[in-house]
Amino acid sequence: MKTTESALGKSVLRREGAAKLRGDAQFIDDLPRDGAWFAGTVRAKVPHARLLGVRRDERFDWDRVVLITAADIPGENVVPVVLRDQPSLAEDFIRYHGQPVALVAAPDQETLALALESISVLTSPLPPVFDIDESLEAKTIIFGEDNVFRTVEINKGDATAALQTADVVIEGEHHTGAQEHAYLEPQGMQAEWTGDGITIRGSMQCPYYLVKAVAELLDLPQEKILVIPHLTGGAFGGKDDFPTMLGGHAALLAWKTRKTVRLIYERGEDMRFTSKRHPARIRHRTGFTHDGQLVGMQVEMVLNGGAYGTMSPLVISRAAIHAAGPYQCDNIHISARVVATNHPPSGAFRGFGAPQALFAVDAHLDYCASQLGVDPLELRRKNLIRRNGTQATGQNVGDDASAGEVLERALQESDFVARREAYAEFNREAESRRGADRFPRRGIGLSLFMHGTGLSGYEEVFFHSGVALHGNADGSITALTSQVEVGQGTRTIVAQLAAEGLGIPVEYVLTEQPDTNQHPDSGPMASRTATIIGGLLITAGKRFRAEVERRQGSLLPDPLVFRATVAKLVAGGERLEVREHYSPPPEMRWDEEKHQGDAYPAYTWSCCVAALEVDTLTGEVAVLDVTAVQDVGKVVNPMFAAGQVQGGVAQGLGWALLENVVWKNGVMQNANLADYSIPTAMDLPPIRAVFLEHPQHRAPHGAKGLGELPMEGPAPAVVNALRSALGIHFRRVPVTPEIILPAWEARNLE
Amino acid sequence: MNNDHVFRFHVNGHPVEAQAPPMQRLLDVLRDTLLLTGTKNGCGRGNCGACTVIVNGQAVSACLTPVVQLEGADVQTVENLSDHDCLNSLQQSFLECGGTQCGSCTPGILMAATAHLRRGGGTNTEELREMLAGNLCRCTGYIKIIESMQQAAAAK
Ligand code: FES
Ligand code: FES
Repeated sequence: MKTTESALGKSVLRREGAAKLRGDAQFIDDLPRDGAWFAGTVRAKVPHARLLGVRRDERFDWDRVVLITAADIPGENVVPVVLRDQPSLAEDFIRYHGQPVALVAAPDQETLALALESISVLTSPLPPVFDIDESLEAKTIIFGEDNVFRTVEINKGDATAALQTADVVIEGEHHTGAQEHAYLEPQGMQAEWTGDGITIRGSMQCPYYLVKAVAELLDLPQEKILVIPHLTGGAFGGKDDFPTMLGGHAALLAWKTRKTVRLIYERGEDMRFTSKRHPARIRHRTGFTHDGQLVGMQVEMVLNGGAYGTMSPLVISRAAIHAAGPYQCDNIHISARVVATNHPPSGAFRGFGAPQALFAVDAHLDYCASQLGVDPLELRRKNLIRRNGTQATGQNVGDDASAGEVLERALQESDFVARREAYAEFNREAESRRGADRFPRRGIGLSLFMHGTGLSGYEEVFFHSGVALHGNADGSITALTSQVEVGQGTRTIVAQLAAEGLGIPVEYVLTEQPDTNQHPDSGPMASRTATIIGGLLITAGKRFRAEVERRQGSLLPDPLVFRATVAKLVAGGERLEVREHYSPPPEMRWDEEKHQGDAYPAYTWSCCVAALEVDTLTGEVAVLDVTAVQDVGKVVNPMFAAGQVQGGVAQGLGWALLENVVWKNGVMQNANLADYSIPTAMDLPPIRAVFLEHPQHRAPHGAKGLGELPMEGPAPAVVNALRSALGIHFRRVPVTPEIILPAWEARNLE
Repeated sequence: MNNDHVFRFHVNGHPVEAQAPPMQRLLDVLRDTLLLTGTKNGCGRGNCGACTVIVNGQAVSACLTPVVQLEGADVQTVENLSDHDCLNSLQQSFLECGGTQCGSCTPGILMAATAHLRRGGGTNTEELREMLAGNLCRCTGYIKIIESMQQAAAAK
């Protein structure tokens, strides 16, 4: 008798891979046009103003198109994300350059272009606010009473007292820039009027957000809204909250025209007007004993949220919880605010606030080591969170404490200590030559960090995610979730995880393109599929098997027999379906108000090492190689996991070194893929992913979150490596040649 | 007022007569007229490589190629690589090595790689990185794309 070998930990091939490679995988822009109308957006051209109205040029025949403004919206004019501050179409005020004011649909692209040229937005300007300090001054109010979307404070012990008595207190201020998601497939939606409701297809991460949003916007019951997320060509958080606005726009036009309407952004429009990673300013005051024991940490962080709240209230929570990094300190005060400015709204982006926080704390600690005259490795060894240690919210991590192990493993895998010495020798050699300033320098640096698995605090309870397994007539089983395939491999790993619970071969499990009729709401992505959703699938699989065996009256270890039994039961008219919903582990405690308690069921711990060479004539940095070590609990699919790490590290290196959004009056000036450079194959080094697998006990299969984590390591590792190369501490990413070169030249004047 | 002309060329071995203004982009002819949507529009300005196709043996950006330049040309797109459902060895390597994630860059990269390998281009990592410089991928960090190409080249 055969039993089933587990598919977990196997590099099962990508289910939709062949279709993508043949070129017949359909993305939203690939759907047949079939009489669909084309749509465009009329946008404000000022960053802050009172909206007076729109003026239509009467030389254009407006009967040829359909135009919608805020006044035409049948339901509530809102993009409901966390707050309800953002209108779908501007009504009284313009809060950012590019804000949608009206929508146009036309039967063909030429007519659409003419119509868009024939309409202008009338405004009366107000003073704009672009940076964090101006926003905090609150002379001009954009949001609420003080421009603050949310403040999160975290207190542990008494940081003020600890800093007063510390032997040494070291301060540092770090800045991070906006980052563009630059998914290769621009945003797009197609909406169709179905007679009494709307079907929306598109490029998105979270179909259920859109159901709720469109129902409100059109004042229709949620049952009348069907959302079908297509294969999505990269997302990285950029297709988390933004499609709630875009899908609403497509739906409004479909409702008004009673037709199918395509609203597809071109690259420039996408880059200028969709969300970015929150820029941040983070200040640290850190107290140590003489020998480098951490005694107190004060962190003051402000994120630039742009014009509307979007995901900011949740981003700031994750940022705050991660602000002290993977370090054990008994006295911590964290104050984190996210403020409004007249930039396009910032939104979700891989890491969700944690990258900014982790960059600052780890770059700062490395700098502190240099000030204390302590080896940065020793400083980390002395202070990292160990077994039963507590992080900033007071959460006891129990034995989920691999910070030390990932550090040691990364040192070993990257041959860190020997290479650090070799590079120091290389640099001494350069110093000793004539025209020393002109010779390249080399450095190696690392970062130590963690990422909380699942959503922060109570959010997971709020989403109450569900999955379902459904038996089919041929004995196969369909796994239903609303997790969207955006490239991370969801369709494949959902099948692996369901198969694990069911105890059957992965080929017996079907996974389809989700839709909101059939597929239960399993919440956002957020590095949750392999762990939170995976846990639900495994539990559901076990229940499904037990149910089949109960009805059959015997155990069915042989997969062929199990399959035949499922087929027989279904053929006999029995409905085989098991649903499973998330409920938090009962021992977890969380105080949202104080941000105290068990912030996450588990943490993924990681250490990232970057080695680099700086061309001191140009300030250009060549990264030589990156080693990323992470404890992910359990690797579900090794090939996909390595792909996530390599892609995440690439995105992190881009954020660290290249990706510079140039703003002028609240508009991105370099909104194309030539002037905003994401890493090319020539820019990137070999990237090695090493996995540790210490199972977490709050998921049946032990897996922790992975997707976001790898982008968090490179920025601090690069800045630390630059200090080892040049002896200069850079306090800002992206750290471009325009920053490096003058700093290097200034150093030589000293 | 119609400045359409008729242009005759081959796409994936089939003769095509395209009636279009001379500056119409090959990308639009492929996607909108011939419904060959495997070729992707990632930027429309020659910056991303998602629209890469092979014209007379050369990898080119279809978004920068006006149809007027195509008279008599031989155009090959991603749809021409597999024999019906059967992946060719390059595609198979991408599947096995994890060279595609979201898939937006994939058709363009497959065509750039195909042109390179057919030309007998070098397959060490540096040569392949250089060859790929015009094709952006936001998902993979390029590592597994390079491994995929090397596996395919080694199998030859
Ligand atoms: S679409 Fe042609 S290069 Fe980007
Ligand atoms: S696989 Fe997504 S852009 Fe390359």
